[in-house]
Amino acid sequence: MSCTNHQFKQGVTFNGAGTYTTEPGWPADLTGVTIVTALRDARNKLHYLDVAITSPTTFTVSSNQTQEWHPGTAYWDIQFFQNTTEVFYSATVRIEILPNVTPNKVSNS
Amino acid sequence: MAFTISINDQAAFEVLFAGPAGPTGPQGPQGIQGVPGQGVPVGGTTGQVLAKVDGVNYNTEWITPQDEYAVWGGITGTLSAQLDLQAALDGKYSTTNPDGFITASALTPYLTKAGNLTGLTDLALARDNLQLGTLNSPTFAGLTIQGAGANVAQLTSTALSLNHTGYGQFTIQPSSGITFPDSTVQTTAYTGTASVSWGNILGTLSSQTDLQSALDDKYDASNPAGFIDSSALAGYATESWVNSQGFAGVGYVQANFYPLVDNPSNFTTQAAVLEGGGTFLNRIACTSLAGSAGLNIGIGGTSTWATEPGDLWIPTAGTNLNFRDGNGIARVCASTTSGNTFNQPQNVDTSNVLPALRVTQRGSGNALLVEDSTTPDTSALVVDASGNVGVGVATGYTSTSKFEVVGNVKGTTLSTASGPVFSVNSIVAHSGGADTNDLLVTIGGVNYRIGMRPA
Repeated sequence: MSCTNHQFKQGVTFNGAGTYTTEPGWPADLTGVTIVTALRDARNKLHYLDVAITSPTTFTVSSNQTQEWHPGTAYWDIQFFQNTTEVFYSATVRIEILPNVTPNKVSNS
Repeated sequence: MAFTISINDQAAFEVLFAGPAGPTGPQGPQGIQGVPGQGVPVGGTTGQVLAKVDGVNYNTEWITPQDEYAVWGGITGTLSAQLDLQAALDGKYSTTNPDGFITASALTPYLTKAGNLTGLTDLALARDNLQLGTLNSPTFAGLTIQGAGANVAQLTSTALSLNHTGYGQFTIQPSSGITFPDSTVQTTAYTGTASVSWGNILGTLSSQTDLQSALDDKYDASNPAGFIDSSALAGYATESWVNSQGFAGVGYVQANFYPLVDNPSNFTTQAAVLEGGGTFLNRIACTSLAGSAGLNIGIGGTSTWATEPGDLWIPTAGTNLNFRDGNGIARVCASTTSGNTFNQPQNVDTSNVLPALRVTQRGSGNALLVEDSTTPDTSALVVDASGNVGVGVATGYTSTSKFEVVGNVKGTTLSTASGPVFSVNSIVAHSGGADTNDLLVTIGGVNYRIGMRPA
């Protein structure tokens, strides 16, 4: 299992765009596939992100609650399951959450 | 399998999926022995199971498991310990009647109904409910049956009456019989031993449904007109059967009797009497009955219809009896009872020793009258009833002479017997002498008068 490192600024709206590429033995595309993804921050707090499948091969991941992501090393992966029985996990992505300094005056709620 | 993802327009990166699980590692060393457990209680028998006594840890006992379905007689223990059952039984308990007996008050509604017929609609059911037996029929000195707001039937000691809102009242009384509301139907019931005669029964036949039904049964749909056909006559219309019935003598056939087959009864003499015409194959003898002719051929035939030789007919309003001869020529038969007019020459041609034509006049009329186209003719040939002959005389001629001619007589020779040759009746007076009888003779167109006096 590989693990990549990335940086993300606390409080910034998280927008991720994914493109699925199949391989022999895996689902041909995202049809019938459910995607769930969460990020565990440096204080071991779990934050679920919003997922939308936009086409058989593309999906988006977003969150506007990143102010709650504690700075430090966070871990993020994506869970795929098909027909509620077969469950697949992506490799874990390590994200360095960088603290923001300027207070956020825009309410997210 | 992998996917690429970019976060907030950053450069996309590839994320691989987790690979399959690795092989199971080697078995680890055996752990240290644990503290001995509490174990199960001693005792117990075959089939018993371990059950908790209470909530204390390890506090168990052996018990005998109950059957899945309890059986009456197999349930042991104390009834009062069955709280649900005891509560159900207590619910049946009545504090007002602790012993649970049926009281008189509980029976009152039923005893009241048995003793009072108000509201009772089924007497037979009431009888059976009271166990009176089927031989016990209710007896009433009087009875009133109420319908919708009115008495519809009343039974008294003297009469039984039935009231109907639409048909009126029917009454049965021993003294007067049955009285019907509609006097036009019947007013008095049968009162004696005399039977009812046909002709005295009134009403409408079709209203007698039983009789109508019986009559309908006589109706044969395959023979709606009800005629007797040949199959119905089989066995009866034979000659031997007719003889056996005493009808071997002269028989009579009613008018309009039409057998349906040519020889329905196998009579020895073959004959056919058919509505549409028939042929008798033997001599037909007819004889007159008192007051009627022996044979009547009917009126209304015409020469157009009578086309066969031998046909005989009298036209409608006709005066002639006609026949068609063996050559098929229509002829008129002579009549001996009334005059006939023949508009064609009639011939008498015979070689018989008897007179070819004999006229016997027993009356006062002429024996023979020959006229020309004018009738009565004033210059006819007449033979009067006495045999005197007049030529050129008027019809109705009579004479004391045997022969008289009014007109000229032309002859070759005049032969006479002994006696006077001529008799001249004319008398001519003469001034110079006695009157003479003149004989006028024409010779060569010149008249000569020969005067004669009696000798």
